[in-house]
Amino acid sequence: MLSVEKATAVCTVQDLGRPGFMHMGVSKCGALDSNALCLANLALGNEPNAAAIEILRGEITLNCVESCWVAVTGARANPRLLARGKQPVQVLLNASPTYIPAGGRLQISNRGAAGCSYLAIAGGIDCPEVLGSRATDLNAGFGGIEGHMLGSAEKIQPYPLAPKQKHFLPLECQISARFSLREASPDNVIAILPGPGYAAVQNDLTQIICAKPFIMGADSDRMGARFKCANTRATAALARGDKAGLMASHGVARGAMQLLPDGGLIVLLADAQTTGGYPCIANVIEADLYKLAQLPPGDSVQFIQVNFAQARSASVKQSAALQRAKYSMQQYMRKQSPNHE
Amino acid sequence: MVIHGNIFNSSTKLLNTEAGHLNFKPEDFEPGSRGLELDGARIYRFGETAIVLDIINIAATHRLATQAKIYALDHALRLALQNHATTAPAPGVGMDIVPGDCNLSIFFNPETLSATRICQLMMSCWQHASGAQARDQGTIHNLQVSYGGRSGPDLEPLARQLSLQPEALVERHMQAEYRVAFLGFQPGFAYLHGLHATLQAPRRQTPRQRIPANSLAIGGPYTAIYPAATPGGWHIIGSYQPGSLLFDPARDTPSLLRAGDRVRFERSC
Repeated sequence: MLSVEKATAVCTVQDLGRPGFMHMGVSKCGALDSNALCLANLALGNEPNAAAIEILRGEITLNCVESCWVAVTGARANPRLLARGKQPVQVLLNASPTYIPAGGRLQISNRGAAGCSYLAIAGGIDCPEVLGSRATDLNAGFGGIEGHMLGSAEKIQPYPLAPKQKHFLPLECQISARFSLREASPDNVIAILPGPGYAAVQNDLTQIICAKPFIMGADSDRMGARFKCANTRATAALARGDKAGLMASHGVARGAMQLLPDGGLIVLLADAQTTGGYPCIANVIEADLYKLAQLPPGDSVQFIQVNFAQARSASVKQSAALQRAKYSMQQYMRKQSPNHE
Repeated sequence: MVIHGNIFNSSTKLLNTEAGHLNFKPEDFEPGSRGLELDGARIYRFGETAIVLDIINIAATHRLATQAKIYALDHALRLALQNHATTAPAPGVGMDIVPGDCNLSIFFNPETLSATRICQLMMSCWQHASGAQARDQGTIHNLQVSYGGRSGPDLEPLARQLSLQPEALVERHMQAEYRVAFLGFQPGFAYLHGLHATLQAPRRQTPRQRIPANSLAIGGPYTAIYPAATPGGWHIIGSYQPGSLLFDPARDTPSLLRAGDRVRFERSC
């Protein structure tokens, strides 16, 4: 069991989210950087979709009341086992299983209180499934640990280890970072696909969005990454779209870029509401969505336009890397299995 | 063109329909393209993960009748996908059918489902969707509410704004039969169509920091009940006296209200 000593980050229990209930107004939620979550789980031999702790923009210190195995992923994580007695500080390698003895204190800080990390615990976090998922829905107040952010003294219990994990994890502790899927810090180039409508205005809007960098707002959160647009041409273009009656409420999901009447620009993320009435002028491609969780507020972001084939190939490349990681882990575990012949 | 594909349980009658005259071209569904027009609707791809059907050129007076066709489409799609509302799809399939205001979106995982097939399915279901049939269907809910007082702080100011007596506002609000247009904003939050034209009012200038759960509210052309406490900008005219929770994730059907359902308000004693 782990107990939270202190958390300054938005720490929530997340898995890959809760699809299938959007028509009832239930947001998908789930990890902002889903590949990083899967990777942390894979490193421990968990199911990729097992519930883990997402640490968004800040720091968490945990006290491991009982010994456990953990793995940390995320572009800007700086995970370490704090010094105790004669034991010096031990830095945890990215995506590599680490044994934490009982009484060990684990600290994970996102550098400059930016970025998004995942702490997976071998076995996966034990919490009830709500509508098919363990992801925390902060707005609705369910999922994860009683639907809220992890705070001081919160207890986190993993499920018991699977037999295969009991066997391979002790062999694993000296192995250096097993997986590396992408560069430590993502670049700030974010690809978009133009929106579907506003035919007369869409080209204008896409040009405006891609013309110059945008600064990510400090009010960005799990619902969306927020930017200031405040461009009179964009507002005028929107007004024309509005006249054409294109503002009816419609289903929205993560990646949708909405232009707000006050000149704000928001890219919806995991906790987005299920319907929205603001015009969606573009979509951030699936493969670049994680960057909006990993880049710190205050950083500039350059949007570029891509076509559909480019978007899909970026996405396929990412999931192929994850598949390779999954495969190599399966191979490794099979090799380590006592029944292996 | 015959629509194949075991992922859609092709035994379903709908999917074996000839759709040869649809003149479907994959490039029509490139994101950013205008899509394809079919029987008064535009079908287009939105980003990598969504296919949208948008009913076009709707007269303001016909929105209610038009929405009935969306209910029919929603129903047909769910039947075709064997994706009934109460069961979550298999992990990784992750499909969502989301009705909006005179539109409907399908969200899917492009790695496990073919966008072309979903477009074809959308087209086929749309051609068979009958608004006339859906117009008379929908579960009826009689919801107990109390108007005004401490749980309806905006009743009197809103009545003044609309130049009505508070009692007249309440009478008019209770007279109508409402229809759930779609859900959103919060789990179980149903946007109800059918608000009397004289009761429609733009949202408050300054949203409230906290609206209590079960508040009955008016916002623009809609009326609704907030299933859970939240910040919000609608006018609070009363509160729902819950017989059943509007949303309960532990229930077989988590949301009490579904798109197409009918709602009548009754005054609780």
